[in-house]
Parts: sequence; structure tokens; C-alpha cells
Amino acid sequence: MINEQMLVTLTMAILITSVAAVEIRNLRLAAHAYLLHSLLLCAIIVSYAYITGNESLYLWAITCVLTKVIIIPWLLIRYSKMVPQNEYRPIVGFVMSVLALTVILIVFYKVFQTSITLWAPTEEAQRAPVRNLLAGSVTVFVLGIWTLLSRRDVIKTVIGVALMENGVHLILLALVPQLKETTMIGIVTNVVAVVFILLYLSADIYRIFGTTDSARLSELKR
Amino acid sequence: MTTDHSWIPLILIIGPVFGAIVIELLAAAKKIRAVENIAIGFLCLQFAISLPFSIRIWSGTPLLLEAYALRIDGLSALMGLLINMMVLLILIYSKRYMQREQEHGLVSIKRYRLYYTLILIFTGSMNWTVTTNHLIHLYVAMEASTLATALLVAFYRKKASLEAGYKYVLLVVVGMTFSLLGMVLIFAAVYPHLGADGLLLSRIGEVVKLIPRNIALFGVAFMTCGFACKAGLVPFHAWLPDAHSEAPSPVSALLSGLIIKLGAYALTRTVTIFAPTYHGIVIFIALLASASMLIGIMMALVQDDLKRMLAYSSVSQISYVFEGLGLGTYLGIYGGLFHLVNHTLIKALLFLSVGAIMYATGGVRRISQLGGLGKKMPVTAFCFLAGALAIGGLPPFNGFVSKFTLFMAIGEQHLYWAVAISILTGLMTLACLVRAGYLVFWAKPSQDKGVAGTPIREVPASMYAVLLLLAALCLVIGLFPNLLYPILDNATRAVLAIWSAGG
Repeated sequence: MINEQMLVTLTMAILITSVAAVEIRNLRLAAHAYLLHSLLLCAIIVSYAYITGNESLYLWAITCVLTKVIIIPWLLIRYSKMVPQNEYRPIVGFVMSVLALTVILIVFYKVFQTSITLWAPTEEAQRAPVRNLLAGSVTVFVLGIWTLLSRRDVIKTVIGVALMENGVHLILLALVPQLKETTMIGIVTNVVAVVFILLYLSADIYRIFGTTDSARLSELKR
Repeated sequence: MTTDHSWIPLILIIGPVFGAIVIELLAAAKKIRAVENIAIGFLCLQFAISLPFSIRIWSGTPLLLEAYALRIDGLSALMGLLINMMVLLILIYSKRYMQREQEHGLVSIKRYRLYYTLILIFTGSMNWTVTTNHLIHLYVAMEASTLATALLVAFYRKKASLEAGYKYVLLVVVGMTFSLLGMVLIFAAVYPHLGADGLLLSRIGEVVKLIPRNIALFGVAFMTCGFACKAGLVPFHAWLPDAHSEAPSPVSALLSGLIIKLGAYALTRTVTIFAPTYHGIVIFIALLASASMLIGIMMALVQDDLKRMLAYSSVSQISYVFEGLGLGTYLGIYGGLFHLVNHTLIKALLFLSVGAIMYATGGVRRISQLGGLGKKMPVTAFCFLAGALAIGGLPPFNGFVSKFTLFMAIGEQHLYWAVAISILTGLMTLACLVRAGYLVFWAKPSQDKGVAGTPIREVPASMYAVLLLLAALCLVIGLFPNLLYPILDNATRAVLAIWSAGG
């Protein structure tokens, strides 16, 4: 049965899949982890629609399935075939990275959950389960930023941007579920275009520079 | 009555996109001839539409349209006219410039067509940005303008241009995601009071005082950082010098003249609403802008690459605009918008002049490799010098008037340290640009390297006509600043009207 406890569980699951998308070195597998992450995101939207009784969220969920579950992972997998199978060595090693991610997960989730009255604008948002969903979505956003900071691979960076955007979309869902779906379609389409253009440039970068290492992009350093 | 005009923004937004489709369809049917003329034709149409409705607004109809999440007021009219005029001029200039790039084998015929397609799509997204009244659409339209220019920045597909394009998209998109976060927080706080209408920019002003203090400050901080990233203020400027210098010169003029102005425009529409309630925002933006203008011009002084120098100067000049708009007073917004218009004209003039130099010399843009061009390219030399003096803020030119307005506006708020920094930056800008102009046009060329000895001629008439027109506009606005008064006054009152709606 769909209930509030389930929403909390889904939030936890989405955090775990985000970590997998960040941490898995094989780009195709990471893209699949991202697919799972997006699928959970859609599940959250559907269960949220069920709990709040807001029908327009179902359309929102369909849009998300189309863009985040189908198109973006398809683009990621397609372009990751053009570059080496594994991502370029990140700035931090595997053990350090996992440790850092664990710390980020626990600290940020805890901090955002306990400080919710500081930054959530409505009383409804300050109660469970919205409270947990909000803390979880901000943590996904932070995970995206961490990916951008710690990864050098151009395609992994794209996954980082996509995670950041998903975090913001979840926050939007948690705070204003009554939003019209047309607005959401605009935002989501935007993400697809961003991912496509970044991947398109990444493929050209690999073709011309011979590497997917973004730190090697230093032609313009003075 | 107002809904009579709902076709205007639709044509402004969809028209150029339709033009882009026409170009691509003709190409698919292999009936392609003179894509540039099709693009110029569509832009003439755009300009012809935006001119009469702007005139109607200045002659006493403060609000032409408010429906379907679209809204045309004084500020939209000003920006719309500026955008369509500048894109038209830059396209006329591009015609010969891009033809030569193609003849020299730098771009393929397919990419030559893509250039015009993307510029048309970009025009549509810009027009959407300035006519929308919807918080989230504002974000979407600004993102669309970033994406449309991404491939123009990476146009030459060389190492440097790919790097610039990648950095540009990544940094601006991440910055704009922060501003989306800010928008979401503000909207969520407004929602209980206004319902779905809370998404309308014109209504947020009514409830500013009801938004919890924490949320308002978090939201405004995120939005300011995002828009500052779009505008390329220090410390968010990393993409700007690369993108401006690696793009084709007409695109540099578009980026510097229009794209970074969208950040300032969005700031006016959102953050400025909060400035009267929270004085901290004024100080925050003044600090950000002061640091940015000083660091920007210091970086410009040490550049050898002409386009990089102009790019860093843009970082510095857009900070003036931000500083004025962030003040939240009549004089501040008036000065900010005035400088926005002037900087668009001046920077387009300067970038197109450098483009003319590159056209004549076969792509040389290093100051150390140029020299003595003044005799061979008198028109370009004159135009560059006019631009340099205007941006340095010397009296007969437009830069002086708007900068002086800004100094007065900042002084009125008793931020004397900011006035001092602005004046110092102005002097450094003058020194930087005039020095570059002297070295390129009048200093003796070094014999052993660079362009000495190669035949150099003045650029074709269609290119220098655009330069002369822009230079003339700079001079005329400088001599008769009152010409723009009704336009700017209308735009400023449109901004003020939004927050006074709350009483």
C-alpha cells in the first residue's frame, strides 16, 4: 500500500542510487544507475500524487518517465560508447570518495532535516514525510555539486549536472505539488537539451583532445 | 482591451524560430541560396514589429499586454527593441565576415547555415526572456539562450573553442540551477498567499513583506549568484573570457552585448523587488559588483589578446549595471538601465571593430603582433577609438552620461567607497582601451613579426557601415542624453510599479 512510510523509503532509495551513479566507474553502468535513480524519482512523484490526491502530478510523472528515464539515460549510454569504458580517474581515490560521500549523505541529510524550520517556507513542508523528502532532495543536489567538484571525466560531470537538476525538481515537487504540469515540462525539456549539448561537446572533446579528462582542457590558461 | 496585442510577443518569440525552420527546410530541399538574406529578412520583420509597439509604450500606454504569462511593459519594450536592433546589425555585419570564414575553409557550408539557424533561435529565446511574466519561464528562456549560443561559441571546433564552449555551458547551467533553486524557494513562500499567481513576476511585489525573512534572503542570494554567473561577474566569470574570445567576432558581440545583459534583466525583474525591504541585499550586490569591476579591469590590463581584453572589460562594465540595478532606487535603476543600453552599443562596436581587424589581417588579434593599422583602416581606427573613449567614460560620448548617473545614484545611498571604486575603474578602463587602440592603430609595427608587410585593406562597406552607425549612436546619445529619457523613464517606472503594487 502507498503510505507516508513508503515515501520515506523511496527517498532513502533515491539517495542510494544517486551514490551509485556517482561512484560506479564504468560509465555505462553509471548511466544505468542514473536510470534507476530517475525511475525512483518518478515513483516518488506517483506516490506523492496518491497521497495528496493531486491528479495533475500523474502527467508530471509521465513527462519525467519520458525524459529522465528514457531519453537522458539513452543519450548517456549512446555517448559513453564513443569514449573509453571507464571514467577518467577522479581527483579523489575510491576509498576516500566513498568515505566522503557517506559523510556528505549523513551530515547534509541530518543538517537539512533538523534545520528545516530555517529554510522550508510552509508548515506543511516542515512535517514528515515532506520534511524527509526535502532533506533527501537537497542532499541529491549536494551530491551533484560534489560530483562536479571531484570528477574530472567529462561524461561523469554531465551525470553530476543531471543529479543537481533532479535535486531541484524534487524540491519543487515537495514544496509546491500543486504546480501546473506545463511549467514542469518546460524545465524537464531544458535538462534534456543541456545533457544533449554537453554530451555532444564531450564527444567532440574526446575526438580532438584524445581524452575525457576535463583538467586537460587547458588551452586557454594564461 | 489589452489582450488585443497578444500576437506581438508570440510573433517576436516564434517568428525567429520559424525562420530557423525555414532555413533548415530549404537546406533539406537543396534549394539553399543566401541563407544570410533569409535571416536578415526575418530580423528586419522582428525589428519592424518591435519598433511600433515600443513607440506606443513611450507615448503613454504603460502596459501593452498582460495575459497568458506574458507581459509587455516599459522595460520589455526597451529590451525588445535593443535585442532586435542589435541582432539585425550584427547579422548585417556577419554577412561578409562569415562568407570569408567559409571561403577560407574555416567553416563548412553546413556549419555556415547552422550559424544563422542558431542566431535566429537565440533571438527567439531572448525575446521570450524579456516578454515573459512567469518566474519559471524566465529560467527556461534564459537556459534556452545559453544553449542556443553554446554551439556558436564552440563554432570553429578547434581545441580552444571546444574548451570554451564546454566551460560556458557547464558553468552557466550550474549557476542557473542555483537561481532555479532560489526561484523555487521564493515561489513556495509566495504560494500560500497568491496561489498559482505567485509565479507571475508582476505579483510577487505584493507579498514581499509576507515572505519569511530567511526564505527571502536564501532565495535572493541563490538567484543573485545564478544571475551573476549568467552575467559573468567575478567570482563567477571563469567562462566569460574564454567564450568571448573563442567565438566568431559577431558572436562575441552578441554574447557581450546581449547574453550577459539577460543576467542583469533577470536581476531587475526578481531581486530588485526585494531591495527596498532588505537593505542587506543592496550592500551585498554593491560589494559583489565593486569587487568584480575592479578585478575585471585589472585582468583586462594584462591581456595581450584584444578579444580577451574586451571580455574582461565586459566583466567590469556589467558590474556597473548590477550595482545600479541592485540599489533599488529610481536613480539607480535608471542609471543601471542606461548603462546597460550604452554598454551594449559600445561593446558591440568594440568587438565588431576587433572583428574588422581580424578580417583585414587574416585572424591576428594579439596586440603585440599588430601595429600601424590606423593609416590602412581609418574607419575601423576611428570607430575603435570612439568605442574606447565611450567605454572609458569621456564626456562627449554616451558612457560618460550613464556612468555619471550611476555615480550620483550610488552617492545618494551614501556608499562613497563604491563611488570611489567605480571612478577608479572608469579611469583604468580608459587607460586600458586607449593604450590598446594606440598600439594597434598608431604605434609603429614591429618589423620582424606580426602583420607588417602583408597587404591590409579597409573592410567592406557593409561591415564598416555597421561600425559607423554604432559609433554615431554612441556620440548622439552622449550629446543628447535626453533622447533616451522617455524610454528609460518608462522602463524604470515599470520596475518600480511592480513593488509598489504591495503598498
